[in-house]
Formats: sequence, C-alpha cells, structure tokens
Amino acid sequence: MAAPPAAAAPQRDKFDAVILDRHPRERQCFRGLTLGDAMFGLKNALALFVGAPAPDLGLLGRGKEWCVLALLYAAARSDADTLAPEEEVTLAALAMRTPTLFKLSPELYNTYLADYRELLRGRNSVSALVEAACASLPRQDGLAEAIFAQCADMVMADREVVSLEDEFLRDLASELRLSGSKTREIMQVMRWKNELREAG
Amino acid sequence: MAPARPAAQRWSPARCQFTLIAVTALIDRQLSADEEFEALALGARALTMHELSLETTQGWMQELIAIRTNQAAIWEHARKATRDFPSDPSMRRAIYAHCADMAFADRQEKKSERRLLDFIAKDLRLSRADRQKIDAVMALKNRH
Repeated sequence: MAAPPAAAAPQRDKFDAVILDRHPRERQCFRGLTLGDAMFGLKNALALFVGAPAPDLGLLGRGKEWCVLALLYAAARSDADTLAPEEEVTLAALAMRTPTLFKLSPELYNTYLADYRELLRGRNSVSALVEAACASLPRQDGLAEAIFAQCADMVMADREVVSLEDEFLRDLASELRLSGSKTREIMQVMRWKNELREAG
Repeated sequence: MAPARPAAQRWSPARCQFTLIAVTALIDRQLSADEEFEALALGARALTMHELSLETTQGWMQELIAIRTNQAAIWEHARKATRDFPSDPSMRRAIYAHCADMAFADRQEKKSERRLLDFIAKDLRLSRADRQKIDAVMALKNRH
C-alpha cells in the first residue's frame, strides 16, 4: 500500500496489530503486511510475497470497482490534499466491506489509488476524478444511491462538514443524477449517524 | 425500560456506544475481521470515543468476545448499554444508525441482528418514522 500521511500511520499500525492479533489465521498469512494488505484475503496477500506485478490499468479499463473506489477516494480528499486519519480508516473499512469492493485485490487497490493520485496531480479540486468516475459508472439499480450514501458517510467521518465537502456532495449528487428528495433523505440519515457526541 | 442505576454503577456514554456496536457485530456469534475493523474504526472517529485509547476499546471488545457464545450474557450487555445510554434523542438516533450499518458490515443482515436492532430501537424509544428512514438508507448504502 502506498505510504499514508504521517499522522495516519501510527493509528493504522495499531489497527493492524489488533486485527491481526484477533484473527490468528490472518496473522500467520499476513505477517509483515499492513491492514490494507491484510484485508483482501490470503490468495491476494500471497501474490504480494511472490512479487506479483501491478495490474495494468490500460488493460483492465476503468470498470465499476475503479469508479466506486474513485468516488470514495474523492470524498475522502474533498477537503484537503491528504487524507485525515479518520478518513483513511473509514476508506479502508468501506473498501473492506462494500459488496462492490471487498474482493478487490491489494495490487489493484494500490494501482487504483496511484491512478487517482496521478489524475489529481497539480489540481486543486477532485472534480476531474468525480467526472471521470461518473462518466464510466455502470447504470445499475441503486448503485448511484449506494455510492452517494457511502461518500456522505465518508465526508462526515471527521465529524464536521466544511464548505468544500458540502460543495463536493452537491456536485456528486448532480453528477450521479440523484433526485433532490433522495439526496436529502440520504444526507439527513448520514448526519444523524455522525452525531455521536459527549453526553448532553 | 428499566430504571437507571446509581451514577457510580452506570457505564459511560462511550462504553454504552461501543458495547451496542460490538454486540451488533457479535450477536451472530461470529466476529469477522470486517466487523471488528468497523467497530474499532468507529471507536477512532466517533466524537465520544475517539479520545479513548485503543487499549480501552480493545479491553471492552475482549470482554464481549469472551462471552460471545453465551447469548444470555451478550443480551445482558445490550440491556445494560441501553439502560445507561444518554437520554439525548440525537445520540440515540445516531447509535441506532451505527448499529444498523454494522449489521450489514459482513454484507448480510441476519435474523439475530434484526432482533437486536428491534430491541435497541424499542429500548431507546426511537420513533418509528426515524427508524424507517435509517433502515432504508442503511439498506440502500450497503446494497452495492
């Protein structure tokens, strides 16, 4: 996995330690690998040990997985050039569990992230990545709504929504052609979800 | 809902929240790496919990893992957590949303998880309308 921001690394190392300690089968298989590697399964992790080459995006094209991860990555980066520790953890958690992404190999995950970084190099907004992803996103029932909900959750992961993030969500809803009522419904619930705070 | 216990015996809001999320992950007697990571990730980012040490949340998780095959004990933890949960309606709505999302963390919502969500919603006195909205969005979010 590409080097994370310095602030995120200790936290991710801690998570690695806990997860690997609790799941000894994974610990045996994934010793020496990071959580980003560990979360994708034995077969894929072993491919790292034997030095499997990075997949060629030119051959693979920009399919559904590329698009979904691109939008989650864009959501995480919508307010800054780097990911907050909470956003990095949430991005990894989502990639680990969503039906679209959970089978993604670590090589492809890394290749996609590198592709996104390259696409955003020298730009001060993530809109190019959003447009590219939405243009290639398959038209599947409920996919746009699912991605928007995941992105809204991602944006709220650091417990505040700044104006850049708010703008990102408005643009994303528009690119995904979500209705105003569906957008509001999702935003309302994601705001509720992220309202955990000290006891009042 | 049972009467609140004396303050000294009550769990902190953070412990109540973590317990409900972890119990949702454990209620089917299995804790996948996905679910555990989700619970710990939440512990790192929720405002109430993010200042806790990982050792603290890990200790709570260990306690639950030790009793995961004892359904009565697991349910007793859930009851304690809802009994001591802060009365703030927005926090109650938030924890239910987290638990509903957690129920999908391993890509399928099981009957035991549904029963637990029913219990949490009822014990925290969530309105039916709010619960329906949360359930609908969490199902939608976890569809793809």
